[in-house]
Amino acid sequence: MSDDDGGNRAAERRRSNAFSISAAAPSLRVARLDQLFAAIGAEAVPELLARLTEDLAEVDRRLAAALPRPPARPPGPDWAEIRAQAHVLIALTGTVGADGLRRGAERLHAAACARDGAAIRRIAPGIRRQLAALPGLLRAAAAGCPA
Amino acid sequence: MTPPLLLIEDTPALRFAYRAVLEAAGHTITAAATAAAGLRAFHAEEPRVVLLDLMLPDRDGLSVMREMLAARPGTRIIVITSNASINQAVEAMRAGAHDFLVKPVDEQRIIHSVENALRVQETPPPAPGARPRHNGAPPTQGFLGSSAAMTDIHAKIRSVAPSMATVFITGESGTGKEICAQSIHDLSPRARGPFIALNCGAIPTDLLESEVFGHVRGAFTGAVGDKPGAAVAADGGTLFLDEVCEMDLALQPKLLRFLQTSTVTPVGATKPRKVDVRIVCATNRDPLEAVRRGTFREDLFYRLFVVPIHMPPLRERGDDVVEIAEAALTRFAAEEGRGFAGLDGDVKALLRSLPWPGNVRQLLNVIRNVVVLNDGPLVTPAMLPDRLVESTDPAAPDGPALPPAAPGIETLAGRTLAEIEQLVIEAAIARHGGSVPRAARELDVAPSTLYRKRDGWARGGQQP
Repeated sequence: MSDDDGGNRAAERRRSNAFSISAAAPSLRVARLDQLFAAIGAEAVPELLARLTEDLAEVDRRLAAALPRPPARPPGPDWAEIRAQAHVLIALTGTVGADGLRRGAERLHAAACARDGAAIRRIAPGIRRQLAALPGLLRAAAAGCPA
Repeated sequence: MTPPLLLIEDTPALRFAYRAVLEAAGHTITAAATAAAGLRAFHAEEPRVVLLDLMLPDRDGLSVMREMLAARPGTRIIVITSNASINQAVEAMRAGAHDFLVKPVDEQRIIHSVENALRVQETPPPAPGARPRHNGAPPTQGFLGSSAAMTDIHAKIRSVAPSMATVFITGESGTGKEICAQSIHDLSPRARGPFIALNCGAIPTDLLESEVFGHVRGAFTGAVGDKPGAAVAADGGTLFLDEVCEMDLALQPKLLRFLQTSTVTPVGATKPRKVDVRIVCATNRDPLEAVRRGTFREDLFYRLFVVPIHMPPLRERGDDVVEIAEAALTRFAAEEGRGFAGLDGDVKALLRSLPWPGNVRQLLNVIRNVVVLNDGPLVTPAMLPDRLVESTDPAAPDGPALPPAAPGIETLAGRTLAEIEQLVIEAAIARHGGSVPRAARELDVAPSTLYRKRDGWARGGQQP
């Protein structure tokens, strides 16, 4: 599928329902997060959260700059950058147990590898919403963690 | 204090997390965010172990690894990559990496990988592209034969043995895949640990998970006590998974998870257990074909197919056939109290000319047959089993021998029931390209039954 595919809007919405990740808050596997915090030690948790927040914001910033623009508005998507940011996001979300967002990042990576602009337009908004929500969720989870 | 480790990872949160995990485990870490900074620290601090992300902002991690190994071949490099670039990890292992971790990295896995690397003695691997260091060294144990093909195998075994790299052995039935696996274990730093061999094709599917990962009491009907499983039994040593392509598809994700996390969860247990196991696996099939057919998971294939070793068939090993036959003759003659001194010249020529579809196993059966039914001093062509000599008929087509055609009922006349059973079983196995499990399905018996019978024939030296 090319970037220029117009298509029927209703059909696009149906496809969107099938492929986009949930727009709701990201899910977090708390047991995974507990395991990570236990492994690094309680005193290291605040700094890890700060770095995660910065890294997630950096991914979002770079992703926003690399995403495909509406047709006829150059430049086109920066596929290599989308792949690179999806790669970082997979590692970050997998490390903290944000499994839903991780799966979304894997789909984003696959779409970037296939240079499927339409798929990326469907997937990216949900990912960016969850990216924005994840740091708050991590802080809340950390506050309730015994670590 | 433990020796310093170098960590090169460009994502700040991951760099911090890996560092914190390793420091909490008692290690001293120097961390770098770029290839350039990492190389400076490498030359300044001379770490024994390096954790290296393969995707760095200023340079390809693989080339950084090559530069480090060229400068200090004894360095143990653990590469870190993502699932999407698993091919790079495979390339890194072939280029001399000690181990690889896939992001997201489990904390216990990173600690175990580092500790394994630190345990390895100071025996530097050869620089990539260098000639094997062990030329002229005594051959690896268990193998006979000095052909060029086997010299290569010996060199590969010695090169790969000190590493944690997973080894994938391929080759026809009877070529010595298990001996190869045992040699890798014996020459590795884990030689004092257990070597556990598991035939994935010989165990009923419903028992395989329990055999590999163990079970707890009450996990299923008949589980009257806790059973550790092969992966736990191999803790500190090597787990050899033979006929791995026969593993049930439903169990393959669990094996993959085990490889990724180094943890096992016995059937019925609620908590995983950490184990430190090196994996060597083998198959007599083409594993890529199994992936194409959908019977073997691609992700598992790439996890396992890190250092491939292909065992050559006997027909491609030149004079090894004579060397092996003479060694077997000496051993069997001593065991059976016979006075054999060697092989007649015609027999040597005949042995060299045969296609040996059953490879070394078939040759040993032939020599055992000769020793049991005859006496010395020389083995002559008349002593060889009739069917073996018939297969050298000059009218026969060239190339590898085809499996013997299924016998017609007339040709079975005069044979014992045991001989007929052996003929039928071997024909079924040949029809299925050497796959015992598939032959077992056709014959409606358990694969273990066929393995047991074949072992018995091998020990008895019977030829139909």
